[in-house]
Amino acid sequence: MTEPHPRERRLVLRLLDYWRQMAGDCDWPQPETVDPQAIPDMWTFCFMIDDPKRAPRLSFVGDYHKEMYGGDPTGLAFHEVNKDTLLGRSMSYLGDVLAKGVPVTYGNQFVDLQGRGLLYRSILLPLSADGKTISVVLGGANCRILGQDEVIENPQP
Amino acid sequence: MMVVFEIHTFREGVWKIDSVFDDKELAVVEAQRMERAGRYSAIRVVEETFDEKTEKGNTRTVYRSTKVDRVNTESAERRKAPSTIAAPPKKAVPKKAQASFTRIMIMASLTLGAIVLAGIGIMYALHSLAG
Repeated sequence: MTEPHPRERRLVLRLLDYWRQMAGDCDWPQPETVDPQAIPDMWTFCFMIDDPKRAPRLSFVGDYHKEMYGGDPTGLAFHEVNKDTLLGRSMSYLGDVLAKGVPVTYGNQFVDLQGRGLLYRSILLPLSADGKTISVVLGGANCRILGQDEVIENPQP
Repeated sequence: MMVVFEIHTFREGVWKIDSVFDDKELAVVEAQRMERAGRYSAIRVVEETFDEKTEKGNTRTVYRSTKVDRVNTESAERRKAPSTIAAPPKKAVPKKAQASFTRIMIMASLTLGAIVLAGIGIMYALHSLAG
C-alpha cells in the first residue's frame, strides 16, 4: 500500500491512490471493494463501466457527470455515449486500459455539445471479479470550463 | 506524434507497467510518491513516442529512482559535508614505562652528583698535598 495523499488535491491521483489501496498485492481490485462512502468527496466525479470487453455499458454515473452531460446517461452502451461530452471523452481510451491492464489517465481540452470549452483530466481504473479478466472499469474525471479568451489548443479527441 | 509516460515498477526481479499518463509532471509526481512509500525496489518513468506518419516509435527513461541510487546520493551528500569525526586520542604512555624513565633519571643524577663530589674531593686532596 502506498502512502496516502495528505495534500494531493488532484482527483486522478487521489482516485489512483484509492485504487492502489483496494488492490493491495493484487493486479486489480475487486469491484465489490469500491465503497462510495470511503470516497464521498470523489464519488460524484466517478462512473463505472460494466463488461468493458464485450459490451461496455455505464452502470453508474456520478451526479457531477449527469449535470455535465445534461441528463442521466446511466445504462447507455459505450457507443451511445456522446463523444463531445466530458463523459464521452473520459471513456474514449477504454481500449488502452483493456490492452495494458493498468490505470490510464488522460487530459485535454475540447468544446462540448453546449459550446463550452472544457479543460479536463480523467482516469480509468481496471477492476476484476475473478482476478483474471477486467470485469468493470472505474472512471473519474473533472474539468474546468474555459473562459472565452482561453484558447482551445487541441480540440481533437 | 503520440506521447505517453508509463510508470514501471521493479519487484521480485520483474519490471511491470504500473500505470500510464499523458502528462510527464503527473507521472513523475506519482512515481516519486510511490518511491517514498518504499514498496518497490526501483521505479522509472518511460516516455513512449509514436509517430503515426512514419509508424516508428521510441522509448526513453525520463525518471529513474532506485533504493541503491538513494543510498548512493545520501552517501555522496555525507561526504560533501564537513567532517565532524574527532581526531584519535594520543597514545597514553603506560605507567610502567613512566616509572622506569623516572628511575633512570634519578640514577643518572645521583651518578653525576657522585662523580662531581669525587672530583671536588680529589682536587681538594691534591691541593692539600701541594700546600
